Amino acid sequence: MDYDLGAEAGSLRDRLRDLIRDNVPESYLGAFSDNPEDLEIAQRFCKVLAAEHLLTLAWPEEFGGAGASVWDQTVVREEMWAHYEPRGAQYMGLNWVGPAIMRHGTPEQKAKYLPPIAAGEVIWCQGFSEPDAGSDLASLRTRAVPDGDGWRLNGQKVWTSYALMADHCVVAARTGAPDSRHAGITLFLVPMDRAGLTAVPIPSQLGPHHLNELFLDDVRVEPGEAILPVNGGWKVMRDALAYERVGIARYARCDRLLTETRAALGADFDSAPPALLARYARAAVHARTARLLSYKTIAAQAAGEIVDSDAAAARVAVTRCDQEVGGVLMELIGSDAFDGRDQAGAPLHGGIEDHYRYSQAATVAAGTLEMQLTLVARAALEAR
Amino acid sequence: MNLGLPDEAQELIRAADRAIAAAGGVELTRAAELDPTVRTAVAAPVVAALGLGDLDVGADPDIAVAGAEVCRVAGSHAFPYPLAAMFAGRHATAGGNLALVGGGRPRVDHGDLGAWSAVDGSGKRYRAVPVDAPLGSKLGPFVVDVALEPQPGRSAAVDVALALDLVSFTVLGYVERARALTVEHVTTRVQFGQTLSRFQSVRFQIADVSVLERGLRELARFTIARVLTVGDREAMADALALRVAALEAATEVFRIAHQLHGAIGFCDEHDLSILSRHVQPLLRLPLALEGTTQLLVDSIALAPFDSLFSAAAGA
Repeated sequence: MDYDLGAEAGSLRDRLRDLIRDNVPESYLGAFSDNPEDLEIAQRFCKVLAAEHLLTLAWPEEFGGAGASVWDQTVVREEMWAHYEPRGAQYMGLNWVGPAIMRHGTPEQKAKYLPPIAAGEVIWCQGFSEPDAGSDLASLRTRAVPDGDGWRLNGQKVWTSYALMADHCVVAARTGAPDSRHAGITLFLVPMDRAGLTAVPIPSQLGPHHLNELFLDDVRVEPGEAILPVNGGWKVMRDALAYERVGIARYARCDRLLTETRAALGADFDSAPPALLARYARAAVHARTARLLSYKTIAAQAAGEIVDSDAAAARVAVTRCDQEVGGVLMELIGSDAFDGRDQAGAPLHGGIEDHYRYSQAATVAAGTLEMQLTLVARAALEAR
Repeated sequence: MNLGLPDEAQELIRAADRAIAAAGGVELTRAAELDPTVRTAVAAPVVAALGLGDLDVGADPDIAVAGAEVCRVAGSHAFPYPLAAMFAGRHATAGGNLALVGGGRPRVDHGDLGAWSAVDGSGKRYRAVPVDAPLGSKLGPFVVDVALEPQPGRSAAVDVALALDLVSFTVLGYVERARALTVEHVTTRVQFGQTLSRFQSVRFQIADVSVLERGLRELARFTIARVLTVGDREAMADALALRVAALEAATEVFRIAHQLHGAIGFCDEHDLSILSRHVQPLLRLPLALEGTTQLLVDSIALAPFDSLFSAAAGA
């Protein structure tokens, strides 16, 4: 047995940390921010990564990537998430929209959409969820009706992260009969400045840009903007959701915050109540366990044997750990827990407060905890 | 990255599972409760026939994995023999069994079988001499009061870590069997016209069990794979972390298993009752969850827990 991520992984991790240290301020807490400086930081960092051929490390060589091993990709995901995703909103395009277009797009779509993603120049958002289609995504009702050689979209999307800053949206719409569920959905690549498309922010405790509504009012879609075949969107969506299950290395931020909080608190950490230190120790164990469950899934993926229940079990462990770490660290910093990044002297520049707020949604976003538990239970019961 | 078990380990796992099952499996433990000599008359020959007494788990990482996996198999049958202590003793003392002792009255599970050494968390060595017969109690049928006679020298931290890891693997085996019994029960027991497994609340509890078991297995394998190659401090912190995870998982898995079995699970004619009673010494000796966690806290106070970021913090 061998848990070494490979010869390149260690040097890649060092290189990424150097680039982050040199280009991303310690106070950067991600693109969910109204501060234009944060967006600039992310845009600039993407260009740095692109220049270093690290932005599309995971992409196949034929599309300008480096064809990196899954373990090198894992290192990138860990380091990016641990440092509050300094690629900003671009990660969605890089991580799943780009690869989906590679697999399912036409030559024209590949030529049009992939180069700007690879250059870190565009932001994509994902229009899947609807007011009446959350966990039960296959019940979505946004309609795409043929209109000459294209379509017209009407409906409403919700919880659309980055909608106000995005250049494009992948909109899932019903092209089959109203009751066609999985078999009647098509994905459309829609420019956000298209007439009839309106994004409205939803103020939330998660911070700006996390949650938006998207209204589609007779939005014209051109024939080259559909991912074909028509009614074949569900498979692409499943790939995207499977990616989100294992793609977000939440355990890595947990590891970083556990370590850095202890260092930042110094003697105050040592004098914390024993029961709280016990919770801290167990959270560290759970973060390691969550990482190992994720590695098991990634190893299976590398061998072409990805099992839904493996990914779901990893996600259960990872998201619960995310919340556990948030709770422990907030208690460790006591009354400083109210200080976000805008308050001077906030612990870890507000990173703990930000993590706590964001972690509350970890068991809801990208497939609820209950959906993951359902997958794990099904596998356990069927294995009998 | 290679998460597959070594071939030798897989062969040994299959052989041990067959041999213990053929000797009666959990039924053997039931018999040993009525007649403790069953442990020497039936269980010990199974161990000898498998050649386990010659396995030096400290000699090589692959052998450590193999030995640990055999402990897991033994746990899945509640095998009434101190296999983990035997492996640890074979390596650390070149013979006899090795017990870990903590605070409180010194007690050793199966402490009446063979010669015993003991070591405490600081590495102090003792000879452990039984002062009485096994308790014969519900939760500690083979637990024996011992007298500790100090011995010269100290045990290496890695030896203590290895001993802890082997016990945690045994606990993993108990957890696996408890999960399997529970799945069997909820998929066959009919209430309100449908199997228990049709109820969502039951399914979510099964999922929780599965996630705990999967997590413990991955952490256990990670820990044993590197116990002989990391330094003493890391090996000990790893072992404490694994024991914390094992105790947490076992406590919750057995709670859920009993809840879902209902009254039948408490009856000694059901394997779950045997398993949940016989796992108790493994969960409480030398220290239970809070005591183990405190040792981990003490370890973290000296140096950060090894993680993706601990090296950077220590630099």
